[in-house]
Amino acid sequence: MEIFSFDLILQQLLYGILMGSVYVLMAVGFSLIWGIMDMLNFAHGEFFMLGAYFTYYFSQAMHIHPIIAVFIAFILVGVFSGLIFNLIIYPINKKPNWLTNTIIITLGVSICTQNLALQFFGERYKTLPKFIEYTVSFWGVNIGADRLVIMLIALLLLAGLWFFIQNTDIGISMQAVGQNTEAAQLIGLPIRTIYTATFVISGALAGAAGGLLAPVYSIYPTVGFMPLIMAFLVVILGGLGSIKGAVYAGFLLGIVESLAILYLSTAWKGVVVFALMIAVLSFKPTGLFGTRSE
Amino acid sequence: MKNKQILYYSILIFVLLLAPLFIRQQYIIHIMIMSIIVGVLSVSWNIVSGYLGVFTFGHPAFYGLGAYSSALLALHTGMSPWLTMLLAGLIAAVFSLLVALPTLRLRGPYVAVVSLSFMLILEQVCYNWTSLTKGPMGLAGIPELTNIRLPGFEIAFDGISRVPNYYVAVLILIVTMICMYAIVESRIGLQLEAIRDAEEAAAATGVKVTQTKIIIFFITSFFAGWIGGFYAHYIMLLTPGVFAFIIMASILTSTLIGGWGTLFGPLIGAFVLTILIDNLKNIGDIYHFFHGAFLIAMIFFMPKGIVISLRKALKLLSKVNQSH
Repeated sequence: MEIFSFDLILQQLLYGILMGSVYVLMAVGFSLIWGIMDMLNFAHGEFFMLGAYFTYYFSQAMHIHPIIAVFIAFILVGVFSGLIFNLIIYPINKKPNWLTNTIIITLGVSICTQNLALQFFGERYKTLPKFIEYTVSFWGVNIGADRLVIMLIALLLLAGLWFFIQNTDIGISMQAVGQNTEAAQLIGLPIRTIYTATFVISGALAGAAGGLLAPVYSIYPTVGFMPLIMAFLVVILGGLGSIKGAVYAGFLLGIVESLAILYLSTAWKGVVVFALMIAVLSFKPTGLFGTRSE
Repeated sequence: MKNKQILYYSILIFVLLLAPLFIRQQYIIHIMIMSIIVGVLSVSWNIVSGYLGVFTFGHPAFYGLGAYSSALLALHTGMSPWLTMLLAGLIAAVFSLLVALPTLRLRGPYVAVVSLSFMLILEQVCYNWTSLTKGPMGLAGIPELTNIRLPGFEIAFDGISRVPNYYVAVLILIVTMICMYAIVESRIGLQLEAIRDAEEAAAATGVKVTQTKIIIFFITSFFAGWIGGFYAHYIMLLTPGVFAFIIMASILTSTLIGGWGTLFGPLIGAFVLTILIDNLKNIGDIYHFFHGAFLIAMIFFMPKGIVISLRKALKLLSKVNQSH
């Protein structure tokens, strides 16, 4: 096999942009929640897992078109995420030790969700057929049409997020709260609504990421761990709390990863990811694109 | 006050030492050993989280790392498990620097994020490195602790009685308790609380913040690795499941039952939790769900732990009584 061929590299590049767009979907939500409400959501991987299972369920059991199933998963996981926030996270808002308490609560949510999924869907790995069985060929590159669909939807969602944050009242208020919560409260911004919106968006994007990747990987109750770690790495690379940074870092990571796969075995992916994390924190703790001095 | 505390601890240790004389059922001894394992983890974790105020997922990682290190060393080098247990502690402590050095000098949540990644990635490595760890099949045939021969009698670790293992666990617990007590009561203990309550102020008065954090991380990880090594030689079968979220949940629950920032509350918590879980196991794997729900409920209603909440309630009650 020719390893250095231009076609292959172009193909992996495309694949990298695809993976990158999904990583960004995962990481942006995690980063938003940290940037706006100073909390870490360790249940973020479970939103990914739920999105994958919902997509599986609606397309296989209810025979809905899988792309519409992804959309349903997007909405349902968003609602779930908003409910979790309002029922068990917002009420402890005023208590001391916010960071630690929210870590423990989201860990609890993660354990509960994983075990519910285990009860409902079982331990067996579930697989979903591709969205479209068709291969697109151009310039000597062969890429599955389903992959292009995944990339397209992911990019559309990201564009939608960008529009939302830049142009709607809630989006602009979110930025304000992220910059200074007290000041935002003083001028009368509805904190609870803004927090809820952040959580709904974050959960929905993770759910969509799970749904989109469901036909690429198998689905099982702990499937959310690796995407969660990838989101960590993206967020560390891009600078914690920075959306722009997460976007750059996500695409960079996706591309680097898909090129590295040509030369490295995937079994060691986790170790490489961890080594990168340590390296970035040791030499550039604010992230490759970040300027915040935290 | 201090003498009273030491008295309580001595009574506790005394009770633990005498317990096997009155307990004949091996199963109860097993539950007590498991409680002590969770107890050692929780007590040492609580020094990092409760006293230093740094939230880490490192403990389950170092526990699992210790277990695998000790088992593999004993299997492949033929060293005595007594020695490999201690080496496992050292290995865990050295690896803790990997997490500690880049993250502890930074503000914010990096420790939690990196330590959680470390735990999940170790699990992945144990799954995938099948030539070394046998992957999901589990590492079997881990040697038991070797018998101790003293003139006149012999302590046999033969799998018939669990009592010898129990005493090893109690021994590790006692060493842990003494070390943690020494840390908390020393100058370092005050420095830890100063860092937790006001890091800048502590640094301004000359506390070497990062250095202190890293030392504490190192020491507590040693105990996590050591007890992990003991677990390996006690259970004699390891699967990548030792790096589970649920171990973190157990540590957290014990600490929440016993109380944050109290030295030995988590040990009591560990006993309560292990006994509870043992009774809940009849309902099947869904008990994990209740474990998670319990964590959420604790933070919701008694974020400082049951012991501290009870103490507060009692104080309130006595005040009400006095005013009548």
